[in-house]
Amino acid sequence: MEQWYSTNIRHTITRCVFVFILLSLIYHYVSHTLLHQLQAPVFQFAFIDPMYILFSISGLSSFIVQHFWLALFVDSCMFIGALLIILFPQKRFLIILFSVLYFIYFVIYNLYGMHHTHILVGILLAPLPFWASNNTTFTYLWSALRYYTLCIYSLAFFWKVFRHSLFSPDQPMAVLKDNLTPYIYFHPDTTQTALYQFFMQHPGLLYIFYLFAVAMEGFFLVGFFTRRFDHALITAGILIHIGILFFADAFFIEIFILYFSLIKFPMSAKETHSPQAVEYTI
Amino acid sequence: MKNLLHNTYLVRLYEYDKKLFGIIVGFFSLTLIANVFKAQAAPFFVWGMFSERISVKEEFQVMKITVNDSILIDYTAGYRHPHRFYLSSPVNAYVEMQQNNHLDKAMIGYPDKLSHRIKFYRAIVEKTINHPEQYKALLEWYSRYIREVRGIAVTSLNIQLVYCHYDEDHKLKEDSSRVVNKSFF
Repeated sequence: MEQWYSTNIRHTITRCVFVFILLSLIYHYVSHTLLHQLQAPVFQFAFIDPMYILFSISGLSSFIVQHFWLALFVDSCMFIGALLIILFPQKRFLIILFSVLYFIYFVIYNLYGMHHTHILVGILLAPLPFWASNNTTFTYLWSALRYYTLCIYSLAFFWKVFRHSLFSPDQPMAVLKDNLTPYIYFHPDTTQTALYQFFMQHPGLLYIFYLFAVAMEGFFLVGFFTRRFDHALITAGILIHIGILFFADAFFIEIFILYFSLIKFPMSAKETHSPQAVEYTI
Repeated sequence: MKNLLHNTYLVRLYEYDKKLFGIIVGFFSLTLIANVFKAQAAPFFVWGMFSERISVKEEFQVMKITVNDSILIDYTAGYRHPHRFYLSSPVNAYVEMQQNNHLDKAMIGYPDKLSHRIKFYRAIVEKTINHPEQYKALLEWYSRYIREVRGIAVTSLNIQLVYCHYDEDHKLKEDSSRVVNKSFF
């Protein structure tokens, strides 16, 4: 069976993904939130999620953060791992090892951050397709990642519909005030605060922005039927997150790694005509 | 029609590798189930952020953290987002725990009677919640983390809650404040 993605393209995608991951690790390093920088935190929030409970009762999370050198070792392995994968994208065992380490980091970051954020989910899942032993399996897994990206926004859309928050004109105002009041308190005279006050004085306009954002989430449903709008979906996703950052103060830049699965990487003529190169729908 | 069906991702995947098909479909099904039942279990995540219907509050509380009597920890700006997460979220939990008579927020909504009856459940709860010892140790950890982030030795830490409201012109007005904790190191 001919392959959709050639080894060369697979390696290009691997490098793109891991350069992104390396930048994210550097971002977390300068933000003092790598494991060895957490200063042995004491508060944890494990409840609700069985995986966090497992980490907590096994003692794995506390063992790592309480031992500086071990934490530094895990952090260093993630850095060196990402760097080596960029240099040697064909080494699958490095990618598998990195995924395991990052999973540990992901859980600990949220466990001691006292909130189960989804900010790092993209980095958690994006390396998984590269576990594939051949390029056809990789193609299917890479497509699965694309469908997962579509799922995220589609589910966010359905949640707002089924919980009726979409139909509540007060919703965006409540979200804005709940999340931005501390900023407004500490920065009463900035342009940003003036903009928030403008939107509070014009709740109708705020609701229109909210409806537009939810519509863009719904737009991701189109991706299940055609790849034709994938680049438009990337634009929609970026706009959604700019909106979330401005109106809800939540920064989701690391989720952008999933957008690599929406990019059409160039294929050779032979690959374009291969049976696998047919446009999929679910 | 048959051709159209054959062209779908799921049918092609099934024909290619039934095991891989099972893994992928299983993963997506569990993600969907997690979302339907709103019961997250990593890596099956619930994507319902900001979807809960909420109404506009009348009163807001702002946490004000001051170090060494003069340095305000502005967790709303001036730091990167991961910084801000770690500078505010654990202290928020500390304040919540104080407001909840030193009971961990995970215990809210779980009747003590029931948890005592189920031994296994109780054992898990005991292992995963924050106890008074952790409550006491949190501020010391926070001072260490501030030293890591700001590079300054922390001699005192003051956590205050400021209560405020928005007036008719949507300007934020401070009503009152109370000291949650003042510690010296």
